[in-house]
Amino acid sequence: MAKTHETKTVLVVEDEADVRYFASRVLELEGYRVLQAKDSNEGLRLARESQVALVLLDLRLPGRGGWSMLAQMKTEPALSAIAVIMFTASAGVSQRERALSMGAADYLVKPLSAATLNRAVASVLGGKG
Amino acid sequence: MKGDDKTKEQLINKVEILPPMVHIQGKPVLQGIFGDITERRKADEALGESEEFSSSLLSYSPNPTLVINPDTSIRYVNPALENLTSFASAELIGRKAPYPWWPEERLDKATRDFGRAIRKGAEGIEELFQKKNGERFWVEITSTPVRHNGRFKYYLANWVDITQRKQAEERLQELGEELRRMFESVTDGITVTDLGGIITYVNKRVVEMHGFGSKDEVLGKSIFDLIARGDYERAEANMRKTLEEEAVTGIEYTLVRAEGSEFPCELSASVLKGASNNSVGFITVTRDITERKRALEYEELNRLKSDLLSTVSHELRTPLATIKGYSTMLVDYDRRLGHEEKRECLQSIDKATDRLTELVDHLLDMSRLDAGLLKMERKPTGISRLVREAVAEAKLRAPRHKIVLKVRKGLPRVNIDAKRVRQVLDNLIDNSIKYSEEGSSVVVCGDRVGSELHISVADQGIGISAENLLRVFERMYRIGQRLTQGMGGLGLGLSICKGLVEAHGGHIWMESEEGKGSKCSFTLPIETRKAGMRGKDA
Repeated sequence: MAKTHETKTVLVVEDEADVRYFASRVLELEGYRVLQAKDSNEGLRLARESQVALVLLDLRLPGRGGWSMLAQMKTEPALSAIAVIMFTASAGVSQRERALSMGAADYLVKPLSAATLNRAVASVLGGKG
Repeated sequence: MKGDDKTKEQLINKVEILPPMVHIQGKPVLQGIFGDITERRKADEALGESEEFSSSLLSYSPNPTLVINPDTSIRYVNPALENLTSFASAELIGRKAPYPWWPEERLDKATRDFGRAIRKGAEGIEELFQKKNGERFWVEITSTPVRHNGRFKYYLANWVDITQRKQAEERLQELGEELRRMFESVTDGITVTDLGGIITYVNKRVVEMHGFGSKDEVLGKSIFDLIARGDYERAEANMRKTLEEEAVTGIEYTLVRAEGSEFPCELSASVLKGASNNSVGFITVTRDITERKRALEYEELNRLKSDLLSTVSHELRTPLATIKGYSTMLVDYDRRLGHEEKRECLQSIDKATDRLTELVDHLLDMSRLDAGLLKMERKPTGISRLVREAVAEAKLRAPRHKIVLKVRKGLPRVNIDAKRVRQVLDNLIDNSIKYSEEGSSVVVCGDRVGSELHISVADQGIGISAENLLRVFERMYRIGQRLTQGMGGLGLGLSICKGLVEAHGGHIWMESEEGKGSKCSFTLPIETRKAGMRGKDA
């Protein structure tokens, strides 16, 4: 578990406290800088304020959901380059396709292990150099 | 016998042919006439002059006109009659009934009508006659017997050619028949009523739809006899609206069949106009939508099932995410995690397991309630103690809420499945906690009202809108809302509570005001006569 990503910031947008803590802690242990948001408004604010490399985004969120935040990010020039990994308990082929077509880099279905989460994030960020 | 031959002949003709002329005051006229020939001649001469004058007038009349002698022989026809019938005057003069314009097949009727007209006159008699070439035409006949000195002298008939009008009427009648056939063959019910709602016409479909034996069973009934009682007020309001707006469409009603069963229908109604454009009644078109409703219900059921599946999947995956995530994290990063953090992870796993268990229990309860397989283990139970215990544990679960207990002393024991009633109470208390701020109060009351126990849980939370209030006990009602409220769970809790309370013979209801809080209450019947139910609850 070498610390090879010191400079990269990951934003975790997730309303379930335990799941948010799990994802954040694993990514921290992997050496990323991690920001946390409970909903999409807070998520968008953090994405605009900080140099975020990747957003781990839950689909079902209170208020404006994850779909809305993804669409917003892809239309906002300052945010459109940020990689987004959907992170959801809704398993469905059509939802996955929809997310990818909207510009998401990956679609992770809960539950998932620390290693799977880690690999997916590393793969997306590694691919971007 | 001073009269000339012509006069004699005429007189004799009259006497011979027209029996009514034969007797005057019981005596044969023949004698009288012969005896009074001088007077007759004078009269005839005068008549001859006036007749010449009259016939010249008649010849200008645009309407066919004819004069007939008492012996039925034709005395005169005008040119208009010649034109219409194509018979020349010369062919007709002197001809007696039956006349050549009487069609063969209508001889009887023509003879009857003619006899009556000769005696009494006629006004507006309609007859179908024929031309010389056989072509038919309709005339309206006005006729008068003309008397002179009280004697029947001749008979004047005036025709109006009404062929075109009759043809138009026939076309209308044919059209009417065609419309009636069309009404009979449409697949919607058509009902015509007067303004008071009395049925004056129904098509075949109405008879079938309502299961009547024949149209006669429906005609004369009130339209309200076809409508379910529950829809009377709406029907009255819609009749008024139809009169104001001329038509209403797409209204759903519940109608009744002859044998009393009900069925859903879509209805359109419009005002029936009379000849002078006045409102004379209503035309109502009805369509049985039983099948359409069934299809919609089936669709709704499918949608609910699919929603349930995706929600169940989501709700199961969320605690699983915690369990899987934390356990793999504990294994993978064992050495880098502190003791306290590991403990917290394990506690979260424990909590997620409880949540999963609850979900599974809810799903099972729901299935059992649906299938009628829920087993009640009823025992006489002290309700005060049950409520006290529930509140004590809720205080541990929600230490930041003020949970207040208000239970009347001396409540009787009731025959209940204590575990299930406790489940209802816990669910209501947890709902109140979930939807209200920390620091606010949740009041749990137990009371006796008549032969029932009333238990209620009231909070100062966000409340429920009036529109949602009616639906909170519907299964998964909250699912539609959950995305905006961000609350987890299946939305099965209240639906299960309702099932459990009803299985005990009680009922459950919710009162609420948005922004002020909600109060959910349920009753349990007190069965005082049952064995083991005696004694008071401590």
